[in-house]
Amino acid sequence: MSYTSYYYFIFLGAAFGLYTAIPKKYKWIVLLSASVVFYLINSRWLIIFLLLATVSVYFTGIFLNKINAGFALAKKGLEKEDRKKLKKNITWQKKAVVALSLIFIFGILLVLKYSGFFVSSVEFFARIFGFNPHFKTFNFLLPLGISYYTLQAAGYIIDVYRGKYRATDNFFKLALFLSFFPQIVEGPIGRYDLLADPLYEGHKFDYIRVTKGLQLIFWGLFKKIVIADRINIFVNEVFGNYQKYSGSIILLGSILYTLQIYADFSGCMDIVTGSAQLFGVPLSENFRRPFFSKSVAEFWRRWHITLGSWLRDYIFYPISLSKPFMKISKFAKAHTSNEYFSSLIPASFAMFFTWFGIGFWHGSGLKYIVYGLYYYVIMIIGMYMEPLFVRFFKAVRIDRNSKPVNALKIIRTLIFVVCGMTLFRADSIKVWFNMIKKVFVGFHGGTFLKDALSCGMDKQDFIIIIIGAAIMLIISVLQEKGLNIRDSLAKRALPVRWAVYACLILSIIIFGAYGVGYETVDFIYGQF
Amino acid sequence: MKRKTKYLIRFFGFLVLILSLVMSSSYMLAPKDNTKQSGIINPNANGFYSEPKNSIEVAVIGNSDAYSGFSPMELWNNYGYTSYVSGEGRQTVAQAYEMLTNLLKNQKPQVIILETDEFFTKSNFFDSAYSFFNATFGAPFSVFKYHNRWKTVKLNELLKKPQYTAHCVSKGQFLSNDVKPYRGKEYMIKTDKKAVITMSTKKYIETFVKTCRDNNVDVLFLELPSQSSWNYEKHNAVNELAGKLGVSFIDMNIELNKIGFNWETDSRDGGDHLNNRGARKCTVFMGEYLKRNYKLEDRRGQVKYKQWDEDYKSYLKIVKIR
Repeated sequence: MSYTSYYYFIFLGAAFGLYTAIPKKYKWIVLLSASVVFYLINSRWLIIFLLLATVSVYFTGIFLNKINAGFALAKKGLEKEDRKKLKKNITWQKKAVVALSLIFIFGILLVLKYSGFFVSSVEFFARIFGFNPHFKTFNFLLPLGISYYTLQAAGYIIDVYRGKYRATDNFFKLALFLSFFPQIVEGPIGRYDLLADPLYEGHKFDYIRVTKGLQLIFWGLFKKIVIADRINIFVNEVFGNYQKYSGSIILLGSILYTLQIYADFSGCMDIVTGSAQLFGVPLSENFRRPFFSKSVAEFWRRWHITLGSWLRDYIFYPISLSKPFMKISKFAKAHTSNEYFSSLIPASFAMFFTWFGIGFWHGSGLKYIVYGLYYYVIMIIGMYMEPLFVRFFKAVRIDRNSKPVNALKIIRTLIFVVCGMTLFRADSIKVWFNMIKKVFVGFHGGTFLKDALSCGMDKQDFIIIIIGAAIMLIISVLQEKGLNIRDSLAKRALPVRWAVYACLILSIIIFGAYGVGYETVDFIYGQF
Repeated sequence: MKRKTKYLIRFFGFLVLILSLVMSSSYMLAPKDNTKQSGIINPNANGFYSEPKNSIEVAVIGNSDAYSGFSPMELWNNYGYTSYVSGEGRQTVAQAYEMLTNLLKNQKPQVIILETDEFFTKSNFFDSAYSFFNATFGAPFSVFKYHNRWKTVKLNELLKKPQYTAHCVSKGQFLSNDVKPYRGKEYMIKTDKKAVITMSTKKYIETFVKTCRDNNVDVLFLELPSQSSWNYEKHNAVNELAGKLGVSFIDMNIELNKIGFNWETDSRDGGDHLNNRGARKCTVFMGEYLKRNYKLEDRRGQVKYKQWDEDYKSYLKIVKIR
């Protein structure tokens, strides 16, 4: 049941109707039931894996609660030294419990998603050493949203361990947090402290909230059906048969794919955020106009925000603040004369794991790891070159934060991003290299227009994409300037508002890439 | 309370606005002709629109098996009966029902033949409901089907009424001179087992039959030879349903010898669909059946049907194997 299918909207309508009709106290049960039904429809018996993760996380939380309660009791009346000893002992117990739970939930993810990759990697390395083994591999069916709910579950356990909040005693409420149907397929990756109350407290019908949710849903549908799905035909053709095309067409294909993945993923986020908003649940923001980023690091703070922040909080900081890395930092400070570089060394290590994680999370293949490390290398080079840049701009007396320089920075970031997205979409690293090479050595711009119209899209398709992208750009510019589009639209006269909404809905119906001549396109990030 | 009423009025007001816009765009973007250039989906299947009013006596509705295996021109040449095949690839019964209601708008056939392979075609609930809705209400939301016509529509035809001008010489048949034999195993192995026709499909079949009867049109179930999509279990299921509905059922797959059918020469794709030769044999067999069971008029030689003779000549020029 895709988020763009009729079935989903009937399902959503039914869930919303029930949610509205049922007393406040039981509203969360409607959400849980709807989420279970949604999961069963989409993933059937694979719900068992979600259940296993929920059970594991639930008991880990309960156990941590008990350990904490026991410690609170035991520490009373103890001397400071004894209290310290006890705390150390308790911390080890907690660490062991958390580690076991994390091994279990990540173990499921690794086995189901990455076992094929591990086996082929072992075979590859064995061949290097002259062996030729053939291991049996299993192609497991992936449970819906496993990459997302696993991170969400891990975040919950770690937060409880860190004492950020107490673990819930209610298994079913935890199950709702992990399975909430608008976010189960491709996030955003939620945090318990932000989601728990809105999920459980129950909200009355609110006309304004509901209309705002619907507006967001339609805007998401516009991005997905009008823009992303239309581009899909061109992108499939160019990436599938890149040998046939000149560098100029490959470049266009790469730019269009970047636009497609943005419209697809952010469109989905709008649909699911709008859906959750109907129930009064505010999902975390996952995109903040990423193409206005002035650096790759900023891009990743604006793109798939919840994944980036998850990795920052649960990978980057724990690693960079861990004892061994603090020691490295001290060692670097003591043995280098340059304080700037010495401060970068531990961060460089921690970033490596973070970016490796980002790449690895996206898929089981060397390509995805290289994808993550591609950004890592760009950032590291940028960080180590920073003093040079500072000196250079000082020498040429150009303000680094002036508008023209900022515009150049945005263009530079876009080039890196398009190049990265090309790797993300290409069949392999080799194909990516060949495509990039063709852009530089086989550009052949002379037949560009003719070739562009031979890849499955006609002039009208291009016009729609240009108009669609222009609308997205204008809205993004306004948002970047701090304007809340929906709020400012709400202040306009009724005929203006209705005209805008009607245009949006009608443009989805008329200009949408669906029906005869188009294939249904699954959400790209739903495959991870 | 006042606020609630205001919101309710606004909600329904907006709904009415959207519905009227969707209906208007449906009218404007609907194909204004039944030619390929007009953008109509399956122009051959919809060619009956431009046949003279009430000139078709036998209509065949079905999927690709129907438009490959039934030849209106052969029926005309051998029996003088006028017929049309409205076949659509992967047609569902709901779509067949939509086709039927469209057909009945300008034709009044004596017999409608419903091809039965589509009884087993998996149908999407919404697609079927959409076809049924269109059949019932005259396609007020056809924009969902023809929205892509915005690319080709001309301003001056937006408000134009449809004028059907296409002329399909084969009367809906897909003409194929290809020969690709089927040399596989016998596929009609007797059994008591029955394939499953889903409840919703049964409902659509019942509605189809009822609509025909309400319009005084006889219905006939027909299965054309098809090795890849047919078997005895399906035969049993359709036979039982036909019995319940009081509809005659002809399964050519168990009459292959009588028809003189030969899998070596009569299929265009290795046993799935028929070529022109296979279609001729099956149509002649059907013609005999129609002659025995219905009072259809032989129109050959009638001035009003002169065009059929011309079409037959054109048909012969295309057909290389008979």
